[in-house]
Amino acid sequence: MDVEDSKETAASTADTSSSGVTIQLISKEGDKFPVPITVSNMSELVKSMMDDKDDDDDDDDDEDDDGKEKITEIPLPNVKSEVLKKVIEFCEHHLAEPMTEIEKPLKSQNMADVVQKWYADFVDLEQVLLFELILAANYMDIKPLLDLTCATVASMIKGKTPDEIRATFNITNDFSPEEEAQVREENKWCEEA
Amino acid sequence: MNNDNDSLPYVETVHANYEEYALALIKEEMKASVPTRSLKKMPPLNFRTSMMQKECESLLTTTCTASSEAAAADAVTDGEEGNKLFVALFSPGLPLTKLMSYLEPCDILNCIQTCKKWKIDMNKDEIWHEVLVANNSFSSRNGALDAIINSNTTTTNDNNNTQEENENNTDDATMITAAAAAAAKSNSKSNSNTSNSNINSKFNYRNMAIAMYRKMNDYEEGIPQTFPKSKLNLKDVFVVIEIRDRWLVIPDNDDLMINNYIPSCDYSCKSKQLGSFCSDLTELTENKPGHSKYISYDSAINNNNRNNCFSDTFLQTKIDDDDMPFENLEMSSRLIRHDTGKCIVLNDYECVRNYKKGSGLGFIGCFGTENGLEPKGKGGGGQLLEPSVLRQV
Repeated sequence: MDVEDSKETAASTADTSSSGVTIQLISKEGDKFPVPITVSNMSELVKSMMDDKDDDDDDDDDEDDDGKEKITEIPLPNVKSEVLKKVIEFCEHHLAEPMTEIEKPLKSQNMADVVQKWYADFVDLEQVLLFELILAANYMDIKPLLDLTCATVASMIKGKTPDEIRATFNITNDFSPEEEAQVREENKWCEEA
Repeated sequence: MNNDNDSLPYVETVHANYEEYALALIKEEMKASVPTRSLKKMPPLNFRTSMMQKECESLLTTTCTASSEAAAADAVTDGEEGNKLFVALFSPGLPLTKLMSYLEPCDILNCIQTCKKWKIDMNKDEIWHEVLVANNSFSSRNGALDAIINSNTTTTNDNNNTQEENENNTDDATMITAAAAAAAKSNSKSNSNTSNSNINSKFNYRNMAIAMYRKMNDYEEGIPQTFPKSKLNLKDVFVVIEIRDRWLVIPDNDDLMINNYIPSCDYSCKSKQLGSFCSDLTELTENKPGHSKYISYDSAINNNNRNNCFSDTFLQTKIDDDDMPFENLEMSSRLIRHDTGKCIVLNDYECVRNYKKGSGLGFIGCFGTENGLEPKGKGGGGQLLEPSVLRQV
């Protein structure tokens, strides 16, 4: 895993940020990802944790005695390094180019038709990583990322038959033949009656 | 218990089942106790040593992983990691609801057929409510949909269409929609765990979402001139009506506001959705709901529950004095079968005035109006005609 690359990217963004305050996000594996506060604040979870910390440290200055900038560490024990790296990548890009709102219901199976190309490419991932990204977005409370990832999964479902959906997500059909016939009857859409 | 080497005072042997009994008592007590106030957010932990911190974090990680794995294992028979994660992820909660909101009703019905877990998880009222709102953004903002969904708090004991009189005529539509909402609510309560057993119920978010979505005509060759004798009861058929005011396009003045509608850049969407109505056909028959052979509406009959049921439903948006009058009222009306979702489009946003001129489609006449649906004061909307009057139209 290329944590160092991400550190460099994040650190360079941190240098250019106007606030100058850097947050260290710590992944499940203990890897540290320094990000500017503008990036980390896209996560409501991190934001609220920061607010809590501020309340506790309200008597302290933002700088240590030796004048060095204070770095706050935020542990994210539910997020793997690989996933956290993607989350940070998303947040950084979102600040530069905000994602357009994804229309409901989806108008296309192709994500490039409903959102900017960068975001469509961003979610062109393996399923496991995509699902972990959804979990992370949900856990860290990052609405645009959750919208994007959920819409991506929706695009994988859109227009598919039940069999195709099963095949796409490797879902086991646990209906008995009788149950399957019944559920098909109850939920058929516009088949000829 | 042998306490020979114990410095503690002697205690009589504890009854063999006492510990179990005590444990049960504690569990019962914990279940019964309800926190009186919401828990305050825990302040960040301070650890005296780094080892303690590490220990705590590893404990947290183990617990989280264990709980998610247990959920996954519970739900899936397949052993693959991706599948486990997928099903665990879409257990009821925010992601599932959000995911569903991007899909159309037909896709959700397909998902429901994939596995047992999704059949249960996706057939819930909260999911269908989200789908209903997402798929009918205009109607949900301006039309009767809001009234149906949000009027749950309106007091009504009229779920079964009892002929209770209402003193205030203007509340008729609200009463009907409230009854619909209440019916939906009660259905959802009684059927929340039985997945599709509510399929035959009149009003629930699922049926409404499907009915509102069916805008296309299942009969591609057009409406047949002679209808086969139907075996359906009126209660088996939904009627969905939507009315909109087509926006008058004025070049070089894109910022113009008409009837509170702010035009968007998309010229295909330049219309203002005035309202929508979703009901089963029994609502439009009097005396013996479900037994009439045709849809009729007689304003002379003193039945406040049914009188004028459309007029107030159509226009939920308040119209200011400064608003311009309607330019082109258009109406879409569809009949949809409960059981199969098959749909007949009676008219697809045809201008209402076409009917008055007796043009091609005028023979349908079912939704002819005595005032051409021109605004009646601030109420807007019109009334359905009696069959005898319709024939003359």
